Amino acid sequence: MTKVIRVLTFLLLSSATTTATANPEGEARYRQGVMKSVGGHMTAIGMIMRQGIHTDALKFHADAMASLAKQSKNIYPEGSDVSRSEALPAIWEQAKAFQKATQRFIDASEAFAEAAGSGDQRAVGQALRGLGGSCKGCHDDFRAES
Amino acid sequence: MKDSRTTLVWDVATRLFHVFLLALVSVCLYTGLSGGLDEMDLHMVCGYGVLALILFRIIWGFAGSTHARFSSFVVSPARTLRHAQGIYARLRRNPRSREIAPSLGHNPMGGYSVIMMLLLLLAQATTGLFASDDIFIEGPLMHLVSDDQSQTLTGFHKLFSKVIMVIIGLHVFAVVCHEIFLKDRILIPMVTGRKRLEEHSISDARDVNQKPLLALVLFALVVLAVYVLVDALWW
Ligand code: HEC
Repeated sequence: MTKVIRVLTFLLLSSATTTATANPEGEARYRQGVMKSVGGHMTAIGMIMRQGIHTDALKFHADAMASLAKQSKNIYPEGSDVSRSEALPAIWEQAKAFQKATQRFIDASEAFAEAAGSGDQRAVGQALRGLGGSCKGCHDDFRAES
Repeated sequence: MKDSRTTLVWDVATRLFHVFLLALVSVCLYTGLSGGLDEMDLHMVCGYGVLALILFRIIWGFAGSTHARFSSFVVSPARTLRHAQGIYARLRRNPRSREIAPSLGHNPMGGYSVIMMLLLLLAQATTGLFASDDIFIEGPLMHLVSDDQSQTLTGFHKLFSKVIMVIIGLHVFAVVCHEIFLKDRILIPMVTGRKRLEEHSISDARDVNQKPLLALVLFALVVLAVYVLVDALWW
């Protein structure tokens, strides 16, 4: 019993106290890679919607976006705001608000994947606005202006 | 007896330019600041419109009627300074102040502000062509520059939008000052084109030659050029 409690306490403590990453540059570059993929799928989705090409690939890109959104929870270890990163310190200083922005991204990408599966054009357009809004919401508050 | 004769100062092209520029820049500011997907579609179309208007106005500054020409309102810095001093003295109600030299068209300071606004909006419309929001919106010429250059130009585009808002504020403030404090009616004439001679202590002046057909042809050519730029050059 005491062992269980000890293990539990350890798990609780280690999850509550986020330690700074040992590899800030690598983490930042990894994050940019994930974000670039997000941006790449968005470009593809834009062309599908605007030019009406590859419409059958919409669901594929939407699912990929939803997976990336889930992974984006893990790409902000503390201490990874190196100078070449555009991640703002607010990400860690206002952790609650940032978590909300990430959750909004996850929810919006899932809603978009669902709409893309339904084939309902109006629902797809609506969900895409929600998805784009979630990108912009986070970039406005947590990403350095270009 | 009051002299109620009027003269045509602003040709129809200059007046239409002004009112359409006001409308399009307002829409651009509103849509750009909101940044939504639908808003940005409108933003880009209106931006092309602003580009066409500015290019037309620059050409009209050489080909237009008397007061629309740059040569008529871009004057020496010395004269501009004298004009500014005159206005300052008038606002201070200094009785010994010199008369401000009357100008039917743009006064010296107004002339420079016109040049500044034209250049600023030209820069804004041009950088917009290469800009991107990294999400869904891409300027039509973004592919002509590298991603890094596009980011830099996007940064300028955002910066200029703030400068433009300040300049518009100053412009409106200056017009209000002319209307209220200097009793210099310039707002209505920018719509009707006509100014009362007596108000400007000018005894005689001829109406400007509006050249509406030339304006129409030039504007059509500019629209065509902008269309080629944003559509035919897209990839
Ligand atoms: C929860 C916050 C958040 C959300 C949501 C988000 N981003 Fe980002 N994004 C960032 C941050 C922070 C950076 C800067 C990363 C860095 O430089 O370390 C970034 C960078 C980027 C980049 C530049 C990557 C590079 O370095 O080249 C692109 C492109 C991008 N995001 C696109 C998107 C798109 C498209 C969406 C929505 C589908 C989105 N982002 C949603 C936070 C977010």
